[in-house]
Amino acid sequence: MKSIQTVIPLLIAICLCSSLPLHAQDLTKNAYSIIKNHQITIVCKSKTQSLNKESLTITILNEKGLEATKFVCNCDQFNSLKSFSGELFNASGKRVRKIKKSDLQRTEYSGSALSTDDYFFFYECSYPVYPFTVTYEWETECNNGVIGFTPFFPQTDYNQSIEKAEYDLEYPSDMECNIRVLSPIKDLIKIERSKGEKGENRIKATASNLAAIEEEPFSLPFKNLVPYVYLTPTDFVYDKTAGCLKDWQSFGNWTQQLLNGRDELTDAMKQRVHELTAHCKSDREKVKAIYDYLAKTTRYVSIQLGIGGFQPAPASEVAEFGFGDCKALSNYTKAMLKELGIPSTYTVISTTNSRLIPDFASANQMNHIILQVPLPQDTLWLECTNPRLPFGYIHQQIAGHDGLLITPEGGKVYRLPLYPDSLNTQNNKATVSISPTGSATITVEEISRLFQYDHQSGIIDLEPNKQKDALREEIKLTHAMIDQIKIKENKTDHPEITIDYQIQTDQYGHKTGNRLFIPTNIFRRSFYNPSLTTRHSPISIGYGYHDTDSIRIKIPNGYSVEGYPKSIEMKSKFGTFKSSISIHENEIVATYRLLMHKGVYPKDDYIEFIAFRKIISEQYSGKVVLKKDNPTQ
Amino acid sequence: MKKLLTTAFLSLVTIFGIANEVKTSIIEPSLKFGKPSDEELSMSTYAPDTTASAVVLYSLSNTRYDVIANEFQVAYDYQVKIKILKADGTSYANVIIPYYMNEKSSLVKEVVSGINASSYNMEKGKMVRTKMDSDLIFKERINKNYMQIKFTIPNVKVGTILEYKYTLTSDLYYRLLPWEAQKDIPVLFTQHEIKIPEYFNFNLEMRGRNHLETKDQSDNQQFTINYGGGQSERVNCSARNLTFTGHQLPALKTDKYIWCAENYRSGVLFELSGINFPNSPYKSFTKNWKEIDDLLLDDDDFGGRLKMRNPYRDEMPSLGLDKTNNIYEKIATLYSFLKKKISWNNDYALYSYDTKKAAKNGTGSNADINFILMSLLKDAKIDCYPAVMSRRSRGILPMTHPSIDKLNTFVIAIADTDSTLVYLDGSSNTGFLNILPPNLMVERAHVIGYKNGETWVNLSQCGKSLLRGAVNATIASNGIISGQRQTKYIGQYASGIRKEYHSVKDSSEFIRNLETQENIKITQFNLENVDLFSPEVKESFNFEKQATLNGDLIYVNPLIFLHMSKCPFTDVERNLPLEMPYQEEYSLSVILRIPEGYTVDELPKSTSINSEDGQSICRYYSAVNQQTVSIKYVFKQNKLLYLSTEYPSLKKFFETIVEKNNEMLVLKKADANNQTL
Repeated sequence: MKSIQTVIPLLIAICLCSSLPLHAQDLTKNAYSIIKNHQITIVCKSKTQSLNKESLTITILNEKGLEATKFVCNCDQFNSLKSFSGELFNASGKRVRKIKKSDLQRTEYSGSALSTDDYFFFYECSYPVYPFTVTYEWETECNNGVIGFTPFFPQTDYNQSIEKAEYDLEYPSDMECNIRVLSPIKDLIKIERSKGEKGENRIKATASNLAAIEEEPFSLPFKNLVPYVYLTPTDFVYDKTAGCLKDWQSFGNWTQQLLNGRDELTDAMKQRVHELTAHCKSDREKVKAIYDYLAKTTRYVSIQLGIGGFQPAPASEVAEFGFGDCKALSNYTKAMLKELGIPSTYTVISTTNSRLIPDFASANQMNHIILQVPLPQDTLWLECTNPRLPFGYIHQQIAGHDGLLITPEGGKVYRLPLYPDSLNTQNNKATVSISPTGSATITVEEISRLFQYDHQSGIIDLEPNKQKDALREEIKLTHAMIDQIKIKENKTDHPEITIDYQIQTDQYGHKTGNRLFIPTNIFRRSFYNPSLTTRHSPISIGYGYHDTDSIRIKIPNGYSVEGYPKSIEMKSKFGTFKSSISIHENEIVATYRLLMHKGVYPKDDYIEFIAFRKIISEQYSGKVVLKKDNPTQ
Repeated sequence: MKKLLTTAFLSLVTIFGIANEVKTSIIEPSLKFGKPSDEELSMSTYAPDTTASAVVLYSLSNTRYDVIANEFQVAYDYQVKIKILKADGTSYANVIIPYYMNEKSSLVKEVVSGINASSYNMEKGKMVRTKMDSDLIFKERINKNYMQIKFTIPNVKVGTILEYKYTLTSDLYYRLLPWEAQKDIPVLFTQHEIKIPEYFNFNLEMRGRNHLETKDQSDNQQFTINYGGGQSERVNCSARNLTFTGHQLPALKTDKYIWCAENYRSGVLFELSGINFPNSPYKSFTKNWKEIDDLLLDDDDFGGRLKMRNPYRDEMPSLGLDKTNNIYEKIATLYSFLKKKISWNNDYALYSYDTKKAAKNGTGSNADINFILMSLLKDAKIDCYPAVMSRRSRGILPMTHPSIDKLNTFVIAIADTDSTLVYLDGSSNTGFLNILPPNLMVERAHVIGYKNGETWVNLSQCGKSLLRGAVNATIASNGIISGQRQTKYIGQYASGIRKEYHSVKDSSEFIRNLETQENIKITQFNLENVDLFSPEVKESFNFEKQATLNGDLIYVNPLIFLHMSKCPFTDVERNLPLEMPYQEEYSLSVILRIPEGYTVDELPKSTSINSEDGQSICRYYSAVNQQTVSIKYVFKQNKLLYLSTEYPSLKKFFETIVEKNNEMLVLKKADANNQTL
């Protein structure tokens, strides 16, 4: 222990000397900041106690790198900040500022949650002349259980390069640690295991000379582009409970143990549950009746205190108070279904990561709870926190994700179904009648299904004028008045929303003298198409969808078509697109069909990808030119 | 005439008809705590605003002075009853109460007590009350000075009535909390009662567009003062009893183009004007602005800073200030020098608590930087003064009385040679003299210590913001437009392009973004003065762009670079006024040579578009001279505040401008006649 303490300041001193003045090197390429040295030392004394020591030296190259100087320390009842100090050095290496623990700001602010036991220390640093270098050293202590060691994330932002980052973990000889390196490229992080003098275990992870990454459009999340390491104790203690992280099954056992005895209902509630479902003919109907009751009588309130971050509030409490978080509401629903003899499974899931690492269990891969109800005909996945969602529909943040089913036999990883891209549809049917002056009346029917239903259905709760504003915003006309809105919602397991409305406009498209330049599709926006640059990372299309439009435009009396865009049909790995514009006697008929495939594509496809988008954009912004038959001057 | 009358009569009937209907469908709230009426329980919608997710049935507060341990205290009793009408209205069951409690000292504090909350639901035809347990009450620290209490009331769903009360006791007896009559949901009935002993004089300011009844009565009050050893004395004094009442106040919702929605919230603000304790002389607080000036000047953290020594005096000789007599050059030299010494920490402030530390650490608030800059300017014999204000985002200064509490920052007013003032602020990295961040361009700022003119200054129109563009281009028969654009950015435009430039990685990213935005290819890009402390930025580049071809026709927008391609205003209606950030003028002149053998078939007409009030204007002038088309475009926006009633005409004005921007030029091959596709 003593040796570590003396080594660290020495390391910093060496590193400061070598880094100042700044040498031009590869690490400055695309970088706003350079992590010169980051040392993390974790001494885990027992399953309940560990000490984290960190020192970070970072050089800020310009004002865009200022964000990297932010120090944030997240504490709670288990984790506290023991010490902190910092220093700031100017470009010539002279120390110009000392930062003390009392300079840190502290807040317990918990945002929209009702209560958490978190609080934060934070510090923001600025200096007028670049480059400058900041060093922070701090110690945190955890003394009520370690469910996971601090992960090793050498690179935490775009435009940041790493000269050196080291992570040392020491833990008792009788403890075991699981370790998983996640990296887009092999060998970015080196791992060494060794034994200390007294037989204690040591793990050392090192990363050096990592080049800065630039943010690119249509890219995977940052986490997928950088290397990092997850470390967990195989057996852990957390807030007076003991568990095992050997595999998902054992993590499931621990979670199951937290659920035990939490699904008791009062006799009155039991009776209520039977009353509510007395009229139901099938189990599915019963589940629906319970889900509707949940929607009517509860609301989402987040309270995360201690083990409460993992353990649901008892079902009886939810029944009494009428609120709960995702854990509490799912567990409550489970309890009600149990009373009806319908088995269901508490399911831990992530709304951000679609995949759980199959052979590496850790608590930090998930952030949400849903309820699985396996019925003979189909399996339901209930989102108990949002009563607006249609029964049986699997919403976008969980569809296709891995869930961890918590069963009496432990945890089981199970993949939720994902709707095919072609079913996330939106269809616009419109008739446009233009007058000779260019004013127009447009009647529209817009039908959106599944994920697109999800995106559109918020309009139902808006006040009438805001509904108009929401529809208006999507219409590519300079002047437009929306009226006669009729909304029909079909809340089935394949939900659908139909919005009928009318647009009045003084000017459909643009007019110059004897010509009208009229848009063929006022509903679809052109895509953002950045200028081409060398692509570094894969292309990601986050969700797949299917847009179709059919638009009939009546040509005003006294006008003829002078020009119109070419029809196009295109097939690529990203999707298919077809547009057709045909001119009839007094009518223009324009149809569009775009099927975009969700997926991750190699970076070499980038030029093709942008070309695909550009053609679609051009088609979506296509204009027909109408000219007066008897021009006036 | 007869017909007209009947119509008028009919419409009157309709108006009355509606008014009657509204009146009858609005319930009278029951003011008894714990006793919601049947009417309230069965209420399912609020007629004046059917979209309301919840409605405040009543919001009552009672404020009084007490003497506790021989110190004055203010106690506020609050009582609120809310009816939930829609699912998202259930969030009103989550209540937050911030209160003053210093991290280190609890000598002077605020305490929240007596929280009592319940929900009421109809179940099987009977009213069921659910009381909130105290374990649903949480405390958390927000910052060094404030904590907050959070609680949530159980059993709240659509149809629920929730009711809560609590008391906030404050040792800060010289400050009365403002009363917010209007909320972000409609308020049926609200009343604020306050009893102020004769010792305290407060200025009142009523705000908002909704009528609030005021009752101001004389009363008596009694306090007990303990002298220790069991001895005490009863003191009688007179008091002022104020009651403010509001009925059926609409929801206040903020909107785009609003600096501070609070300016429009109906309610009352209080500011202490004096304390008059028996047997001690009357202590006046801020009777006039002169006294506020004096208070600030006496304050170490303000007036003291105005006398501070220039921390960089040793480095001044090396700046070569005596080489020029031009005051602007001197200021530019000093400002550029200081910006390398100290950077803005994103805070705005009025006082500078530790200017030395700010200078030493190289970072500080705008007040820190401004005080230091003033010490530099004074060393250079340049007269300068602080112009104190309330930032636009923090609300306007009270009109009725001077207020030191409402001041929250200042900028530097510098006496120009011709005895006018020019302005500068330390928070800006992209500005210049008179190019202030728009948040500081307030209508009323008070210049302290200035003797040569008006001390109240309007900064909302300080500095001119101009963009002047010139495009010189040629279009070929293949539809390719190639040419050069030169642009001068002045005032806020200069600040804007500097910000944009500094937010991207490098000039090639800046160029790429411009290419994407304008759909052009750029070569020979040049930007001048982007890093300098100077009034304008110059930009020039060569470009290529593709026009639309159709047989022997070419369609092209002759502006090439559109000023406004989309209308910024699309909302149907507006409830709050609309505030523009600053006045601006945008001009563009285009010279476009058309290909040999082509003629102009259609040219956008010259026109002038005026806003209804004539304060804003857009001119479009087009002409053809042989093979050259020329366009002159000017847009001037002079008005800063539009009332909500002016919104439709403002929207129309911008729509017309956008339509004009989008008009096309049609070129036709001279020998092509009966063109078909």
